[in-house]
Amino acid sequence: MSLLLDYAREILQGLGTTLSLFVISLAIGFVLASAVAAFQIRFPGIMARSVWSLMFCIRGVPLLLILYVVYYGFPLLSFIRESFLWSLFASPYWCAIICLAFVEMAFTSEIIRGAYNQTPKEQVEAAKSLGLSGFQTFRVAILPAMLRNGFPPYTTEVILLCKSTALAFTITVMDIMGYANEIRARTLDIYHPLLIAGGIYICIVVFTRLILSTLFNLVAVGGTEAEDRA
Amino acid sequence: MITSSLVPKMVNFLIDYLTSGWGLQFLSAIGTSLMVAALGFISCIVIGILCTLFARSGFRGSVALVNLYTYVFRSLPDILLLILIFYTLDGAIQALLNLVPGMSDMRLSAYVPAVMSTSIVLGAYATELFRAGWADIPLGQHEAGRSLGFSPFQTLVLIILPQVYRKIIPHLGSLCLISMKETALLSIIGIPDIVRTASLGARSTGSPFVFYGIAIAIFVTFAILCSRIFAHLERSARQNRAGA
Repeated sequence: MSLLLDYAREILQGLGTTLSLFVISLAIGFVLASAVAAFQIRFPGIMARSVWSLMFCIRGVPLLLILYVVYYGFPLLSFIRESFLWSLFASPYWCAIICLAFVEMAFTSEIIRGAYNQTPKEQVEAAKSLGLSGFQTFRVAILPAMLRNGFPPYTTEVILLCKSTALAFTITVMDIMGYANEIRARTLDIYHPLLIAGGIYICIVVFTRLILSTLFNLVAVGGTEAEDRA
Repeated sequence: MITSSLVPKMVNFLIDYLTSGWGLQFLSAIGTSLMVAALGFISCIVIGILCTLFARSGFRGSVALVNLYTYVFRSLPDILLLILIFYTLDGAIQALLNLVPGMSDMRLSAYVPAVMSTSIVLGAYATELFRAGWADIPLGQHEAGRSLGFSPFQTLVLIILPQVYRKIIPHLGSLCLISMKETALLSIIGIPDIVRTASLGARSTGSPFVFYGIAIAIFVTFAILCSRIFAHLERSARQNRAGA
């Protein structure tokens, strides 16, 4: 029992790394995804389609491969080694964050775009006919519908990102998985460290789901409520 | 005349190129990845159907059990499960075999844990998918099939599954793509898949961008093919429905 506690204490050293990987890449990914989705909505046509194709390709490539390219490939480029970028790409931690945010951007932008396209056109026209400006239309007529349609798939995506952070240990980031794998290699005890790590990941996911559903209840505007009032 | 002499030359060049460098290695790596992806995809669909049937069977606790399965394996990192199964399966099977007297030792290939972990993780997603597709189908369909004299199995295969299939095709496409992406993890347990071949090549030749580029191209090609195929399947399913 005390052995298990020792393991748990050692593995929990990686909790901060895992959580910060998760939260920072989530935030960066969301900002990038909003920009990409806004670009696709604002400039339809060939530009939007080429951006969409790029995002499609990123979604088709495994995260592990992107991690390897950035961690093993980028240091060979002289313009990265000789500029300020080197301080970023020299650390496996920031490489992992950049890769996670990059992949997250590709998935989230598609969710945002899909949620925007699901917004009923009549709703936008009604808001415009009431004399609302562009931003007001967005805030009153489009954003609530987007939140309602986009939140469930976004929750799934956030959970997937949380699972993906475990891959960071392949480029020597010492997160929860990294510590668990280190104990496994050192002690040849396979079950205990990995099961403890799995338990920690499940706890993180449970909390994430809880936070997201609370957030959803706070910001979501009911779709039926408006009809009742009318 | 020019083309007739050019074509064999091109073919010869291609064969030379493929057999001399990393071509063959990449070809066998593609085969490996495709095989594991296909096995994982098929078994995750089987798991999805079985779990949905079990959850709808009405046994006490079956719904809770299936919920637990999907919740746990949609939260657990895939790589953790893969490493766990990879290092323990051999020992577990050895221990089981030792219980039976007279059994010789058996070595498992590394592909077994790879396919197992892929199908367990994807099975959780497939289960959620099938349950969502199943939920819309009225119970009356099942009773109608039974009253027309179909056996329960026939009702399932001929009446229920085609309707579920039509609802979930787009999601099956993304599941197929994920099962291919999942094979990238095999490189961590030393199976010579696309990613491992690419990183071996990158390390031994010192030109990572060429090798990782080839690997990325393979995955992107697969993604495009996959989306084309499933878009086609979706269209034909919709046409069948319109015709019927």
